[in-house]
Amino acid sequence: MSDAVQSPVLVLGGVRVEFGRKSVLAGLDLTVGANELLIVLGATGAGKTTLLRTIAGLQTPIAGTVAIAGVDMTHAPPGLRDVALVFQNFSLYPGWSVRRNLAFPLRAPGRQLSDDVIDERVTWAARLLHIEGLLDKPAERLSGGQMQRVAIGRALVRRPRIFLFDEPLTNLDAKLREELRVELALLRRQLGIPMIYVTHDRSEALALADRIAVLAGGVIAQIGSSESVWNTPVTAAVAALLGRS
Amino acid sequence: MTFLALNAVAKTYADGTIAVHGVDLAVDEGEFVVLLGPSGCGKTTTLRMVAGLERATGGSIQLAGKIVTDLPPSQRDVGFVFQFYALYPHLTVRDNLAFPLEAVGVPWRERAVRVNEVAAAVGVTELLSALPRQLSGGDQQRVSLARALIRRPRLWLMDEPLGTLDAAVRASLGAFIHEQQRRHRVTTLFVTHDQEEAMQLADRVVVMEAGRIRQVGTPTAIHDAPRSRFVAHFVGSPGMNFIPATRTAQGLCLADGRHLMIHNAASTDVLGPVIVGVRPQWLQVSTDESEKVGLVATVVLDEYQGDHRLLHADAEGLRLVARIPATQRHALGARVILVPHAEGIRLFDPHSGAAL
Repeated sequence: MSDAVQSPVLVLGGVRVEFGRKSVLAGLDLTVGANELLIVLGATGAGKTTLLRTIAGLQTPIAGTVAIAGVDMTHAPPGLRDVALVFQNFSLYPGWSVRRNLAFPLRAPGRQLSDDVIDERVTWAARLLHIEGLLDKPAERLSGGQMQRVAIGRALVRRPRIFLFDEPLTNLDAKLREELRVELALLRRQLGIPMIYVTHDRSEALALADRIAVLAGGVIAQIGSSESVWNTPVTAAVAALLGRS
Repeated sequence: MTFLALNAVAKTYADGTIAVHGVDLAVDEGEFVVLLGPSGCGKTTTLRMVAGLERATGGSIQLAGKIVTDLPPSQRDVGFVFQFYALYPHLTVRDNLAFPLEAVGVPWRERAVRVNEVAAAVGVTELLSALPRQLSGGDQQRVSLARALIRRPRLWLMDEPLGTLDAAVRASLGAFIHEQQRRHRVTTLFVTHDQEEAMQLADRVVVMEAGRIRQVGTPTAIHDAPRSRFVAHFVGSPGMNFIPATRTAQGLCLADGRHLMIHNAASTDVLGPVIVGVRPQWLQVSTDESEKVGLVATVVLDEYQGDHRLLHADAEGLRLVARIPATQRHALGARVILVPHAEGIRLFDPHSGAAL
């Protein structure tokens, strides 16, 4: 098991989250390095989404710490954490052009960016996601795959310190999922922003991961490279998650 | 013997949108047929017309020798399995599962056996005494699916029933559906956009695109002998690679003058521009610079897949994917030669996309 992380961007220590009497995260430790793509695998109900929400500040742990770039953020509101979350169910503004949808997060209260900077960021994100040709199209006229690209673009324009993805490709057609997986792999190389990516798709997990973290029983049950997790799963449950039985 | 026959079944909506253009399909009794295609191809509309949930605006549907085109769903004896179901909140999981059997008068002893069997298959045995609200979302969905599968009507219509489940559960439920369908010989029409699911379950696959049937055949036929570029790309994970080339009397020649392969053209062969199709597993990756045939390409992405790797490489702007052993490593940016195996090569018309 290799858990030596160079220049950590995110450190979770002993994080506990409970819903009522149910323990979801039970003293979870996790360190994510700069530039790393960490895949989080786990069965339904294992707490994968809760983990992302805790990092984003949408869920406050009852114990433990969340540090981002060396600063304790355990009780900081989401807006101060500079992390972006992409869900499988995204929302775009119908009637607005793709351009306006992409620019909107940059016009949020507290962000004082000039129109030139906003334009430049929108163009940059659109180019990376191959949607330059769609910038003036109304959002509701896009295909599912195009909409998901715009949703990712809305996170991208912010240039956050950490990207959190919660099964972003799950609602797409199998074929499209395959294509976007390849694009995401190419994209992350150009970005240099750490990503924590929750999925239950084995191909996606193995293909994208620098490391795979397996969440079970409220803690990280195994963490390591795709190869090591595939070749030496610590439990039968981990093997099953990877489709090995 | 044909159990379900669709004759020129069409659906045009009031606003003029054509969802299905006259589809012909004959399904044998006990057969498992999968409608496969991207979203918007008309597969779900076709299924809903068979169920009677959607009215066909053209053609006729025949079920067990009887025209049912205009009959309401209740008079068709079909079981419809959706992705989402409602459970009765005041009934335990066991009673929710037994309910459809009780409704058709199955004796209690058999009910108990079938409830236990289906509960074990979807992995909810330990939840049988729980109420729906005590279950997680995923468990509720498994129970709903189990309840839909416990009935054995003459025809099962399934609309992506495994769509939102975890991969592991999907695989075990897929196997369960398959086993039940075989054992009880319930004729089944199953809709999915996931070609792996289609290949796993189907006796025959119907590939649809833009409201039309593009090909009907066994999974092997669809995979190995696609009749068009669309089918060749849509089926297979990843889909088929396409390489523009010219067929000459000597072989298949690439734009840069290299040969993809040398052979004697048969006298019946049409010479000229073609699209060469080759699946990722039929592309050999070589690093031997002296290789005389094949495409010269640069590695852009290496996707580890546990038991294999998908190597993506660019050849003069053409993106190709090769499926290689997990132990074979190529650095990003490395120059490689991609050589197709002769038996994996398919040719397509560059204009119509039809197989040659």
